[in-house]
Amino acid sequence: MGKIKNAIFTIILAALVIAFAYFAYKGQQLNIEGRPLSTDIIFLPYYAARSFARMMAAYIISLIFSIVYGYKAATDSRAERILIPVLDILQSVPILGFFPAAVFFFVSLFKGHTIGVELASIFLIFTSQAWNMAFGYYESLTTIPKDIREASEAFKLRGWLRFKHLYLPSGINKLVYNSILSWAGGWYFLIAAEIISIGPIEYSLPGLGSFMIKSMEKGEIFHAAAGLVMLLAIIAFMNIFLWQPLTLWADIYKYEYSNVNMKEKRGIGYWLWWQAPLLPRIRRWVSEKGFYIMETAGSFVSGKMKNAFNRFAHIAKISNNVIAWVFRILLLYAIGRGVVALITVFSMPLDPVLFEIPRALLCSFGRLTAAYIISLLWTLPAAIWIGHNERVEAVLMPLFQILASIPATALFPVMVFTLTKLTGGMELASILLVLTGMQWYLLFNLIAGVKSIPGDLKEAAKIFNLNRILYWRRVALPAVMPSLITGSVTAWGGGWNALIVSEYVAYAGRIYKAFGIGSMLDSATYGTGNYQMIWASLIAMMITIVAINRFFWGKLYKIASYRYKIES
Amino acid sequence: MNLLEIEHVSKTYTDKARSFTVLKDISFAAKEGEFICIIGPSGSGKSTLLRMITGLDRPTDGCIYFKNRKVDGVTDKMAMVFQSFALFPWLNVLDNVTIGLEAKGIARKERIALAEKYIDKVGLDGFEEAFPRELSGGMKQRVGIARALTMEPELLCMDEPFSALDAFTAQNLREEVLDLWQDENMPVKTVLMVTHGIEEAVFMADRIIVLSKRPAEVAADVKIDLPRPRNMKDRAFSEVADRIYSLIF
Repeated sequence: MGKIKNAIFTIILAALVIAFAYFAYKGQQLNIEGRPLSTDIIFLPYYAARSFARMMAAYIISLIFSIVYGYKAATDSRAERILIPVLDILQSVPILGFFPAAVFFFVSLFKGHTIGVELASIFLIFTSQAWNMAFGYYESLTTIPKDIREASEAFKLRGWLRFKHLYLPSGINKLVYNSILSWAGGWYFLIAAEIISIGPIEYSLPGLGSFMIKSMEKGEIFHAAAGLVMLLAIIAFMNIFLWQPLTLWADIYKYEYSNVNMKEKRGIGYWLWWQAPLLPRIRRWVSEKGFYIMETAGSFVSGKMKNAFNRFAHIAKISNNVIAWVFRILLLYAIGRGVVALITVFSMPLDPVLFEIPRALLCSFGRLTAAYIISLLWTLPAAIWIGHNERVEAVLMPLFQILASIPATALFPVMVFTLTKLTGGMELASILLVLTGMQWYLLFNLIAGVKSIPGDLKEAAKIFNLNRILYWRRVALPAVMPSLITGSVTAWGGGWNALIVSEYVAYAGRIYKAFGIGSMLDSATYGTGNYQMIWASLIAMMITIVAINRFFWGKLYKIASYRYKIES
Repeated sequence: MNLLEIEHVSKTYTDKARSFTVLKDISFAAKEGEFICIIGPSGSGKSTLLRMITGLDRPTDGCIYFKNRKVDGVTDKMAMVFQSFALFPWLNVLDNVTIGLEAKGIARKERIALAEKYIDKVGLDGFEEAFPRELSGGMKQRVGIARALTMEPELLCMDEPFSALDAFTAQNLREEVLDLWQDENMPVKTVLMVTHGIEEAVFMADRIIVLSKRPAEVAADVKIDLPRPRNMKDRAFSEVADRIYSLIF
């Protein structure tokens, strides 16, 4: 029964997405001026600020989305049955493929104004940030220990108070952790999101990504490098002054009842926030002098929030039925239109290229497999090493976080240019490009898995003198199995997404292609503008991905989580 | 007058494959001022029974009346102390203790004043700003007890409150809980405690309700007349304990 329901949801969602894109494509032309982007280095700080603002806007939307979505899914079991499969699909759909549709949609929404392009780019970044955060938040709400749940019930924490004292704090750890990953993912897609080209029209939003691409196209390697340094500086700055202190602070929100496993509070960012002479003193001064004001204001705001929250909950309760019906009608309408659109598109004479799709899928699948194996070969040993050595972790983790945030997409043209010269084809280049979109998901998931191996298991292994090979076989590998599979699913999701920018690269007026489903989609989108091809390749890709997830990873995960779960 | 009446309460869990009954036709009553212990073998549904009394869970059959009103859902008149303490790790001692008052809508100043009284009573003064993870097990359970007491409940429910503590700490805390219960100034008069320790039950209770193996029924309802303060080394004490043993096994 559950499987059938899942399949139905998949179909409905697919139809919905198609309908959305159909409206977007339908007769809309991108009629904005392709303004040339200056690659003067003077503009670099301005571009950096624009890119940062874009990222921040997308992140704030992602954060709000995650909390609302996760909260709803975790507290309403009827909604959960729909929301979670939907999120699962959203996470695995290659969003980049729908990007042109999103651009058309927003641009036509704003009647060709550039704000539409800006919003489309924010939307794309949002789609690269939101899903894992929403999943993480949902997960942390469903894993709240039973006794704390009961205590909240017994002491009658309801509505806003329960959110404030239970649902918000218990999600903070995962939210912080996933925010870091999301920012890394966001930077990766920023490049693709700032240059919008459909057919002959190209529009560059002012930003770091477009600056780097443009200067690289012009051959101004020095400018491109300056852009990269700027980006690295932003990433490093955020790591030191935001993520590190936040991670330390988030320790308070762990279900840890002893001080043993608490991280040592250090780092310049943490020091600045909590220990340096200036900021903490200002904070203390404000909190002492302004205690009364803060208190009144605090309770005022809290009261307002409480009222708003409770009123919202109340309205949601009453209007649930109405909203559900409106939603159903809209859904039916959209599905109807989507089906009609699809029938129209496919009742036209079929393009012979269409029949090459299975072969293209197979080629792309081969590339992904190659990239996956390479990722696994280096991330698994690396994760086991890092996860067992705190000192190594302290050095390498920030480094990997920075490396993961470097948008490899910005380096694509140069990589492709040199690799095609060296190897004479696109094959190796596109595998490497896919690799950059795959490996980090695997690495970070695996490290988290290794770190969750309980200390007593490690000690038992030591006492019984397990050698390295035996330790790997009997302890490390089984223990990381569940996170290996979760990481693999996300890595493959990232891989399919990266495929779209990896098999088809335009550089200095030349197009480099490797035969596969990604390049097929891109050729249709940017070259021929053949709707039949666009939709056929998108649908083929979605079916493949969902099928692999359901029938391969899903099954594997069930087995692994049953056999290798560590009971506490 | 009976404060609490449990009438023919049963609890059955059903899933797709099978259904099994944990509690079967449980009936007893608690008078105001009594200290009652519920004991039984593990898996006999003691904790489930306590959760149904506090309104955290519902019986499959039968009724529970608190002050002649049917229990459905939690009320301010009963408070709970948990085996695993169930403290909010992100709140300090003061905020943990006042959480029930906050939910009641009591202003911050009054909350603190009320909480301070009970924080003092359980010997936690000076620890208001500490987080649970900075406290020892015994101190954590003091927070749990203070949190329940600030609600000034008419019935205090405790679910194996000492079983996560080491023997020393547990015995100290037992004596302190008894002192609090006997304190004329304390609003809490009636205590219902679940335990699997027979000595613990004999040491503390006026009455012991003995549950049988699953599906649990009331195997015995034993009045403990030993004078207080009791001493576990006394002969009379061991005789009572032995009698309870024989009722269970």
